[in-house]
Amino acid sequence: MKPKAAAPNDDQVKAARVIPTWAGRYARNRTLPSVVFFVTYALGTAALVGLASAAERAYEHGERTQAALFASFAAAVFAWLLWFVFAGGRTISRAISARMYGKEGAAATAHMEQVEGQAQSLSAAQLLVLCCVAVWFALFLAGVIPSRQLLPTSALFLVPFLSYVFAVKRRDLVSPFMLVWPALYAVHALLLVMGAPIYIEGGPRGLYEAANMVVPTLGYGLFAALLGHLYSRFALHQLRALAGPPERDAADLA
Amino acid sequence: MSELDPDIHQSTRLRILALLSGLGRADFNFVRTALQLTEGNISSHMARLEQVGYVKVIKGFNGKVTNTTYRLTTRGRASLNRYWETLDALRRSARREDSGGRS
Repeated sequence: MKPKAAAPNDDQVKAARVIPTWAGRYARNRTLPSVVFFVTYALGTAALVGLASAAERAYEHGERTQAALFASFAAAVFAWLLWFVFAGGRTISRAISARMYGKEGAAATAHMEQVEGQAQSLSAAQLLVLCCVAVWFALFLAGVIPSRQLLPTSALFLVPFLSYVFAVKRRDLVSPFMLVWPALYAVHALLLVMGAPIYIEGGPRGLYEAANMVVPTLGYGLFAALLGHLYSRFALHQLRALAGPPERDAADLA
Repeated sequence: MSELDPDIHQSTRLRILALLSGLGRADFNFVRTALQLTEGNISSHMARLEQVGYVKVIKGFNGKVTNTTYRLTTRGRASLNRYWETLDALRRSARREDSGGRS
């Protein structure tokens, strides 16, 4: 004879009421794809800087073949980075994350599901920020913006853009922790403007100065994504606690 | 007063529906991870929920591995909302009776 279906007790009913909230929080904070994206991009950037500086050194020592080899590797890495950022990054990050989340399973909120598979076109805000980046970089090359002011000037358009993306445009799709990124970026820029001793200098041909842009753009982004990931672990822990102890098979089949 | 939906008023099915109501979709592995249910339990309860039209079961492939995804249907969401409303009404009524009996 089949056992009778078990009606939920008061505690189970109370738990069931908050399960949707924690499930949604968990799904929104699955930021492993962003973590993978930032780490890959950071490694690619490091490889590009290393190869470019090796090419320059070889050229200065008169080893033109070696310089050409390093330069072509650097060009290949640069082309791959462009492809990664604008085309393949999302697919690669998702594939890697799917493997990492494999055992845990997949979950998405209704909002995430709606936009999945849709072609992502450049929005007016993205086009505007790309124009700002182009003008900002041209002004730097022309010597109008000194390297010390690169970060504060970039904050003028990047902080509003990132805040708009995370707080408005993709509010229901990304972890709220991603807002930590523009917040830290703004604080870093303000500290630099106020003369705080946080500007990094030195290295061969001032190579370490690159860290002044890499830390806020990649480092804070990675930090925000890691915070989101940690919160998703906490949300999953809460979900499992609400679900109660593991059940034995066929114990409560209707 | 209407009665509680027997297809929802069961501890495991209530948790499954609550989980799916907070999500657009969840796959088999996630339901197992989050609710700590066994494969047999998930399959039998999902079959029942699919039968009454509360859950949509989508069988597919993730590479070469089979992957089953679950979604709460519009009917399932409406029934769950109705279940909460009925439960709240029953509790209010029980509280009234309880305080009436004491006075």
